[in-house]
Amino acid sequence: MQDLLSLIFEPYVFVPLIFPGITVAFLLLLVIIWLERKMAAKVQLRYGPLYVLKPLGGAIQMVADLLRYLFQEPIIPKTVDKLAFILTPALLFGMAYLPTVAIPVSPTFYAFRSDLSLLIVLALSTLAPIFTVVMGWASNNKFSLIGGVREGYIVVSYEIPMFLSALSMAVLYGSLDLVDIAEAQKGLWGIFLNPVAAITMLVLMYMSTSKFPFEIPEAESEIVAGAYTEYSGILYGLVMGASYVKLYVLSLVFSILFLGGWNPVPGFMANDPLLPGVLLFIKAFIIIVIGAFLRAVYPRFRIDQAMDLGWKTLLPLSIISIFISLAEVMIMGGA
Amino acid sequence: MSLEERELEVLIGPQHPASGHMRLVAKIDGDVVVELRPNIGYVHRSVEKLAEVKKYLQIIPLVERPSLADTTANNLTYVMAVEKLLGIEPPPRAQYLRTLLAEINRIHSHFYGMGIHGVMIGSSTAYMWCFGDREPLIELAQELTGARLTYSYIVPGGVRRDLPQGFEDKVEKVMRYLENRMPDYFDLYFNNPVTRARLEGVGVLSREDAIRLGVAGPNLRASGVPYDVRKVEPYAAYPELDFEVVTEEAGDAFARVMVRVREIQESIKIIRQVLKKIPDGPILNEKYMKMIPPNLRKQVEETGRIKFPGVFANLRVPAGEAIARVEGGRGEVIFHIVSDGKMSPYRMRMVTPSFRNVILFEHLTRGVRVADIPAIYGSLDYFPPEADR
Amino acid sequence: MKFEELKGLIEEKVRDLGAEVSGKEPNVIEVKVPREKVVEAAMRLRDMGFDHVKAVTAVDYPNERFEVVYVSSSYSNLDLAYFLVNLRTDLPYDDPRMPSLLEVWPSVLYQEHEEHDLMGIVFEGHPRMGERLLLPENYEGIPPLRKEFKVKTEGINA
Repeated sequence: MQDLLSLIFEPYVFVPLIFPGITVAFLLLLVIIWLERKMAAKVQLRYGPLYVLKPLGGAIQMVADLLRYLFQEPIIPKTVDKLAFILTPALLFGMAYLPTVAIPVSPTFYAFRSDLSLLIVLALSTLAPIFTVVMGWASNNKFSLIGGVREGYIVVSYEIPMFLSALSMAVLYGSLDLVDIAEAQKGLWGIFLNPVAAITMLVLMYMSTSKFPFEIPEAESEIVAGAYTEYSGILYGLVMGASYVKLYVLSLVFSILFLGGWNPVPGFMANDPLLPGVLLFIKAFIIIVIGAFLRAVYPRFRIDQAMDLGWKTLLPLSIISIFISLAEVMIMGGA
Repeated sequence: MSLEERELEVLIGPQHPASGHMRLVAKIDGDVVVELRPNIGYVHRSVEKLAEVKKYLQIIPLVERPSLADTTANNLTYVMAVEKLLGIEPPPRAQYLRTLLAEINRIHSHFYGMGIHGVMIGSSTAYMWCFGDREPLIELAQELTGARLTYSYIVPGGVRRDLPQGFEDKVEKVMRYLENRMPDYFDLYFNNPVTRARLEGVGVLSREDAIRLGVAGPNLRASGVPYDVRKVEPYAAYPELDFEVVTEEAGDAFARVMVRVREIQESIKIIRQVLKKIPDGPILNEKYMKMIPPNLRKQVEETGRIKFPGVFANLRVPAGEAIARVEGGRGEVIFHIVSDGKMSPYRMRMVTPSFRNVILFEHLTRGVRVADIPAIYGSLDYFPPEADR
Repeated sequence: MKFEELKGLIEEKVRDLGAEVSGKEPNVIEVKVPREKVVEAAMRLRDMGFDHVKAVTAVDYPNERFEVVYVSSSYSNLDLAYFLVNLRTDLPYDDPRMPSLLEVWPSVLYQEHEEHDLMGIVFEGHPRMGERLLLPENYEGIPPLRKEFKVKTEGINA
């Protein structure tokens, strides 16, 4: 028993399985969807989820929804490519969650340390959209196909500027190691050093996870549910959860790049992963909540407008952010 | 589908979140709509045929049902056509009450259309707000008529009920609430950069095309044609009221929304005038008032609620033809009744604004993007059951 | 513009088409033409400013005739907008066909289609003849708005 407990608290088990890995991601999913609905309801002058655990304002609504998804028959239409149709939701969810393994929790607590952990996270996070495209094709439905194609178009318009703005921070800190990057922000946070990169990255994160106003690949009133049209039951639950998990991962990266990661944390606490972990989570959570809140504010863009924004506005901005970083490195003589 | 085929035929509806009870057959090339044909008739109720076997009074609820959000317009037009055949005029107080209900209905019909449009371009907040703010108006109408949507309030010769006690204060409260609420809509929805990007310059209807295609209602006025039946052929109490015909020049989806918003403001103005100017007097033409048995008539005078005499249900309408038109919330409603002097019309033609606007689906969607289809659809305030009748 | 004045004006325009012009105060003007002349009459009305059609009504007088009424008015000239001009034509009962007015008034596209669908009148030159609009695609039988089509009730004539 004792061995098992200590095994769980070994970083290489704890990080993928507990935090920031699957357990916290899952709990977050339950909370954030409820919160998203609750916040939208508040703006829209209504109650939102209420009757499941009424004293807490329907806080476990998502548990009820999850149970429903679990017990609902996942209908697999005859005309779909069965293997791809069934496997893609699991792969999509898995790929969305996978990058968490490379995210450090504190200066000393991480599953593995690599000189290139930022690149690993970004590279892994770009794999998920491929499965959305596959899903759109495998469903053998015109709306799914359009949804898949839209996802493909969106990917090419957010990926490059997002990488550039993330890498501009690597230029600034002179490292691709997330631990180094976070440690470099003991004083001033990255968001103050390079606000252009921060804003670009934030917008692109919401774009990459289909948050409003970029909820284009799933646009309900246009293409029913995009690539997810034919999915039902727990398969749909998985694909729906995947974009939230992706947002969670990117928010963690954003917190490390721009919001100082686990800083400010008192020196004597730095070796205990608890406080740094909580701080990191809170920062990421705020970013997710902002993304969820946008639903109540914005309608959705048209795909060509979103691509315009990606290529004509955000790409130049992300290039500018690299120059800002370079200039700051020159002035300060390197971090 | 072979790889050589460039065009993809997409069937939007009738089982689609934003199609309504109709099917849009779209041929798309990439993201661009090559051709779009509306396929209507899924909710055809055969009102025109049923009217030939129903009595004149029974037709009132019948004509209301197809356009649920905008029932007063149909009710009023039908009754006006029947009154033309009967050769009777309602008393002035009834004229004002008709105007009052028509304007309340216009506001909540516009909210309905704007709400649906909001959710079609993805703003769930606009949808919820519009449907929430529709509620006080529906409750006003309920207090006046006893029903939330299908009022059947207007009958040949007058209206069914008089103003309830203290109604003026309640109306004023609602009007003030609406006026305070409108800026919120502008802050969050109309002036939202994303809303502007989605609606401005989308689905542009030129003035010439609007005239040529015989478009009706706010969609016509958004293209710069100042045609409003309330001014052109004034009916009910409109000749005595002061209001303006709202027009916009742009003719795009945003202009159509703006016409509705500004019409809500005009309607608030009209409702206030109605309540200020409303004269005292009977609410039913005296010819029919006399038919009510004396003891019942006393009750009518006390409660302000009309109980119909039996002879009224077997109303016979003199032979002849009549055409009536009314500016409803969605546009001009036309009733063309041919009577042969029996208890049912010989032929009743009912042309609703949605049926006249259905042509715009073909016209406005050529060369737009797939995502513009709902943006244009919503901006037309098109209601499938109303078009199918 | 005065009612009588407009009536006189229209009468002058369409007299040579064998049209009967009558009026119903205060604002309805009836123009009845033989079906061969209906397109020409419509063109002349349109050129006067009656630029759109509000309603197309077909009326069935069994074993006698069909009457088709085009209720037209004006959007571009608000002086004329007060008036409704009903262009009427009679069709023989056994041959209910007439030229379509789509070329003159594009606004009749759906209205003529509907009268074709429900009343069985053929508008020659209309591109959608033979297609269904409101009825199901596979509907066969008497056009439902004709008088010989009886509405089946359940015996409750309330």
